[in-house]
Amino acid sequence: MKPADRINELINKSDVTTSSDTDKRILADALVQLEKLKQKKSAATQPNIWRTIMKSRISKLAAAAVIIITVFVGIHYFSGSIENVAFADVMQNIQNARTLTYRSVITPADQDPQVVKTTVIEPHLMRVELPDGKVWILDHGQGKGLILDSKNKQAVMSSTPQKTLGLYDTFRDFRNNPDFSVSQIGQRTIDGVQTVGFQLTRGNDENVRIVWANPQTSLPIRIEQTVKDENGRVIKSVTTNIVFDAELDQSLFRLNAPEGYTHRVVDGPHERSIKLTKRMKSASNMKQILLACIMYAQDNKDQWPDSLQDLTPRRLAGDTLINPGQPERENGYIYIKPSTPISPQQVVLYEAHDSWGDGINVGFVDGHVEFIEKESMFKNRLEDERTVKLTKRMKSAKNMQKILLACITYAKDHEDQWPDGLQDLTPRRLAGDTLINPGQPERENGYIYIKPSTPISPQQVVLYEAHDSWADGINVGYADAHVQFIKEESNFKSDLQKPTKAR
Amino acid sequence: MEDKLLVLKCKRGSPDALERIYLKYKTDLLVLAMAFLNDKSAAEDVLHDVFLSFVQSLGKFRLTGTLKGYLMTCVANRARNTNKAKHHLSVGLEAAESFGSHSHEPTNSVICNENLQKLSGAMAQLPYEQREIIMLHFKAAMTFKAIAKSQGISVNTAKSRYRYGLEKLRLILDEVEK
Repeated sequence: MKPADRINELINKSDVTTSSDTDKRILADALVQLEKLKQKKSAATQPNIWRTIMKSRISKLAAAAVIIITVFVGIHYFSGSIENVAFADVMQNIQNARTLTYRSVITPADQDPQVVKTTVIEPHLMRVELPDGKVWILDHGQGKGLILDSKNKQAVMSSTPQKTLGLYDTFRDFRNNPDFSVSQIGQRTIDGVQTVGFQLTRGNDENVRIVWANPQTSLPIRIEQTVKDENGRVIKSVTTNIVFDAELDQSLFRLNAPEGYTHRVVDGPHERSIKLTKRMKSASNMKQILLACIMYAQDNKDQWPDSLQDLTPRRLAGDTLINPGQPERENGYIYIKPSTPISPQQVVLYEAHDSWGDGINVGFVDGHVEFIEKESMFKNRLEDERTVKLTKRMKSAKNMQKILLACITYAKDHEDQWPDGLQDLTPRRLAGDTLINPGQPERENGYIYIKPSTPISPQQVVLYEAHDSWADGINVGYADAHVQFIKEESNFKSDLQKPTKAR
Repeated sequence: MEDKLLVLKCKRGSPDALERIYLKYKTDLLVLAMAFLNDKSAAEDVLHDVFLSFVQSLGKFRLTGTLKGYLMTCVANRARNTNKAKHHLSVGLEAAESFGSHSHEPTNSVICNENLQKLSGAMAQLPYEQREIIMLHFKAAMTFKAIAKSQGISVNTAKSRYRYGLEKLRLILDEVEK
């Protein structure tokens, strides 16, 4: 034995066992780490509300308006000597304010100042009037937003509850979890009113919030804020005309398009871009899967895999089977093994879905992926598949009837003796290509023939389609020359037994 | 495919998937560690550390080859570090004898069969570099090119170490069998 073989044998025969305590200890420690990882991941994937809402210009202004609210609500409830009041305690006592209006001049980075008027009715309604004439109405209770464009007479309903809930939660979080520290920064006269200035800071937060309040009424007169967006760009705002508990017209907060406005429902630009990105990633996954299938078929005599599980890790990374748009699904894609002969337009892969939505990505045999918006179109494509299958099945049944008739004719000429094999049927009785099953043209002998035993019973199975595995069913021919499509394999096997019973 | 899915499930926090990976590969990894270190406790520690590191790195982990190959390379790297530490301790503290049992008492939690005892005993007489190449080649089915890459040496060096190691191992085993 060669040294290498000897060592190899020794290594292969080497074995080790661990006690259950060892396994438990290692697994327990590993599971603790896994739990930590889950928590870390969960924290990391918490939506960054600020980033989300700061994506669009309109959102920036509205978001700034939301943050301004938090300062108002806090300062409104100061009473007496502000410096003696713990800010957090005051925040916790906020219960009564029901409406709030204010005007803000917001200066986003590298842009001109924008005047925004905001109105709030607790607990769910918010209306932001933007400088370009648009009005954004948010109903946090319903998780919906309505953008009214008075210039173009357009009303756009945003069906993005997460986003509006995000704004609402921001508001709520600020109110319910205040951790500001307050320091007095001096006095200043604003519009003839003597005010006291307070600077609000929070942890290592670099954002600056200064509130100028009337010490007589404990109401804020002016609020100055300097905050940074996620790119570090500075946004400044100055808020004035602050009024609490004014009577407000509820109709200003209705999520209905005014008369004469065109109305449509859309996602926000941010949601659209996220959806598009996920859709493109999913299409990329599907292309990889299709490529892996094609390579598999090349290595397996043009046979596509029975399922996606057959694609080895060498051909396909496991996470490719996850649809980025629906990561919670273990199998993000539905695979249909293509029927032969393969036509390029056969649907072989599509995104798993519970409801239709905007559309789905669909993959074809030739490796290309299309996004199909209309469900009816997708169904037609799938229906085409079924039609092709059905046509082939019918053609095959006709072939089988021809073969059976040829057999019967043969028997008449040979003292009721059926042919020993289909090759006995001369070309005069049967065209050569009749023996080819249109559903499996690659098979030389598409049909299995069983010479009937005598006395011949009409229900004897004498012919059936050759098959490697049972799929939808097969065509079966009987001694009386009728052909039947049998779906269940058990029924077919039962029919095969009939001649024995007859005998 | 199974490993890819298991890793994916682990990434999503599935304890079952983690357990499946552990049970699937623990024996191979322990045999490898034993062959490297000839020390049950140290081998068990290596297995423990490799699994913990694997879980800790799951966030960034992307399986490009086989999971078995990956874990075995981790065991090799971890065992190498343990071996270096052992060498350092034996020189610095003159505690070579006591280090054999590492920080634990002799343990019954890991039980090696006769072949493994023979293998690890013989391997212990080889230079560590040669042990590594022989085991990674035979047990992890790694090519010399892959081994050379993982160890930062040339392919020829890897092959030479393998050849010399094999020859020496043959002599040691002959001696043992006499």
